[in-house]
Amino acid sequence: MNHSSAIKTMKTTAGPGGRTAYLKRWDAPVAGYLFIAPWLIGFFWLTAYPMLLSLYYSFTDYTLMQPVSWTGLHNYSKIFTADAKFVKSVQVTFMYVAASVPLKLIAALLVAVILNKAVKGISAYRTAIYFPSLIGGSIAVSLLWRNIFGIDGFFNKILASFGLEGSSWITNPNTALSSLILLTVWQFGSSMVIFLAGLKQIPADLYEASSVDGANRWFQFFKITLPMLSPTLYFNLIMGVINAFQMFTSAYVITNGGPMNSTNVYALYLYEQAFSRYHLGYASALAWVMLVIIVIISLLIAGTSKYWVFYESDTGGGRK
Amino acid sequence: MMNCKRFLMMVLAVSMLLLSACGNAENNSGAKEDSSSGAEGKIKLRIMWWGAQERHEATLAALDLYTKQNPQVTFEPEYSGMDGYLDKLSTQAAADNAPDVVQLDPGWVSDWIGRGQLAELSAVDVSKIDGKLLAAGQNGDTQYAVPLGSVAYGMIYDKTALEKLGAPSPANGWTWDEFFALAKEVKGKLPEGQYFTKDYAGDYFAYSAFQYSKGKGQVVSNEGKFNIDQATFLEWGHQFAELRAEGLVPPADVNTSDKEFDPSMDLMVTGKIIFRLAFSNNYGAWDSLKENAYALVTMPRGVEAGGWLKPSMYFSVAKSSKHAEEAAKFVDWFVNDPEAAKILGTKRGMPVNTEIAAAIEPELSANDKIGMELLTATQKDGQTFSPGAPGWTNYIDKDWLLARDELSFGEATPEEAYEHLKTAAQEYEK
Repeated sequence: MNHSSAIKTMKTTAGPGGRTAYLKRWDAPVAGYLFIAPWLIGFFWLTAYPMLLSLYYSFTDYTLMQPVSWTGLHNYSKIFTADAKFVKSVQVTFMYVAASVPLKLIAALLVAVILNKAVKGISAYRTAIYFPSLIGGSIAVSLLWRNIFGIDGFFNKILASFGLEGSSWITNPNTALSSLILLTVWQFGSSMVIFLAGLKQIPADLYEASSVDGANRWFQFFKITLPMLSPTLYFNLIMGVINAFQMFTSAYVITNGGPMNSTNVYALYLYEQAFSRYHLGYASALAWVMLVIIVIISLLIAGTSKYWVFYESDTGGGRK
Repeated sequence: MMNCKRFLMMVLAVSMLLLSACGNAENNSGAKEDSSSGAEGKIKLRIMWWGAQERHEATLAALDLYTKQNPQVTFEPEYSGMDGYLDKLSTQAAADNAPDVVQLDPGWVSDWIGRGQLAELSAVDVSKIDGKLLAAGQNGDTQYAVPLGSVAYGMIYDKTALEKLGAPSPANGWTWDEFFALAKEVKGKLPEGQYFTKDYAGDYFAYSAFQYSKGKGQVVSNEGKFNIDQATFLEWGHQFAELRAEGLVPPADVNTSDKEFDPSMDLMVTGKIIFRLAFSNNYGAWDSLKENAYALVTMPRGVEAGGWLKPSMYFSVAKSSKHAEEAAKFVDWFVNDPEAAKILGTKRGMPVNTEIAAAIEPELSANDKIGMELLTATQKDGQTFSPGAPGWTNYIDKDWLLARDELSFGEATPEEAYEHLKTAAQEYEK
């Protein structure tokens, strides 16, 4: 917009009346938009534009080097009808999500409840327990994990001291995925911090009142803590599911999808198509299929939320 | 008043944005000027290779020497083991950000040329290099990749372990029948947790050697056709099934955990297996992990030789390189300079420049000489190396890997594995 129109826009803010709805929406925050412009540019240029481009590529046979030609729905029909590896990777990913997300949430919640106590030096404990999450997603930890669960690894040495015979956990198709899940669960820190914040929000008088009525700890946990914490749980669940669907690093570094594709998670398969085979059009289609899967699952969870997520503002509704 | 303030703020915000954008642009163009200013300015070449520790050390020393002789050129080396190397390189190349100088396996070169990812190397003097080695790096008459060494494919074995079992050491020119007979001979004598060899049932390279030895040629023909001989593959598969049943190869999870040259994961170094496949130039790498424990022997043969000589690896200059000329100059020095050759030894195999190879022969280290013996023994009647048809890299890297796991985990019979490999090949056949 040019200066005069900008000034005109500004002028309209002076008087409270007589503004059109359009201007109402736009005049006041112009400076604001400009201030967040760096972020907006980043969003449009680095996120929205590549996403749209990948949507376009998903309908082509783009291979990086050759000229692009439009192939319509060919990539999508191949994914759903003629790609056994896609099916396998979806299976593996669902297994991974179904196991890692609940386990991680349970671990995070339990530890948060324990850490929500006024003990001396509690912040030191909190830091110590949060620490793995800070370093968790890194290559170094993945390499460490590979050694811990390798054939001559630390874990097997511990088992041996109890007289048990270990196996090479990460190269056994029956246990490889489990060891990756374990690594994920170990990184429960960020969910834990959010749970901890949620726990602090629960009014202490609820517990006092219930203990006057003779409720024990378990009863309090299930009847007060969980319902009061359900919005936090809901948030952590959605975020956890979205993250889990995109898991890549540990599967790539620790097992590289093997053995027998038992850890070939979706993102890893997508990477293989894109950067080992240079099928970028096909990989783009895979990415959009994953987006749709994640959206559907998130909507399903959102749909169930009204049955189990409890907001304090609903109290009037008589949920007792 | 209020309006005025807001307007000022807006102007401020816009100008800040523009300023910062300008600043960036200026920086960028400045950097570009710096790096492309040719002979006068400093040049930093990115270079990437894979290898074991001793190759890293030798290469870094050679780079230092080059910088000493050409002070305007410095290097930014990226080196690692073979694990994940191609993934990393391919990803960088996809982003038009490949290092200036890249080390490529002979099998990949044609794919890279085909995709137009390599720069011409006509500036490199290849007059003293064997034409057979050059061929795999050419497209028509244009050289895109320069061979760095020539190596022999054979076997390495733990001679101390074999002696302990009271078994005879194999001699060059031995056969696959003798190989399997030796396995049976040590059966029952092996201590717990030790096995005769790796489970090679689904190993592309080991099987290639076996099929060669039967006179059945390559697994994938030069024309890009699936060429696994069914009877040979089944014989191989069933031989290994027998070894598996008798506990002469490691259980599948142990077998899969093998990482060559990793001090705690290489199955031979950790004492779990006695025999494994090896390239002649890598003897030193294993010897540095466990001194004087190992010996080399030719690949077992059949009606024909099992082993072959091959160009170990190539240097190429990425098409995206901004210093293609300087990079080519460096590659030329790397293969043709006698000083460089002295430092590099046979870490990438016998030098390809025949004059240099002859010159350094008397100065070879003891380990290099052991490798040379295998090279000479294989040279006699070894198979002719072929880089293979273009476009099959993933067949070897991904599909055979799956077959390997299926066979060793007992999820597929050799018959089924054959069918899987045959089906998978259809995607690559043109």
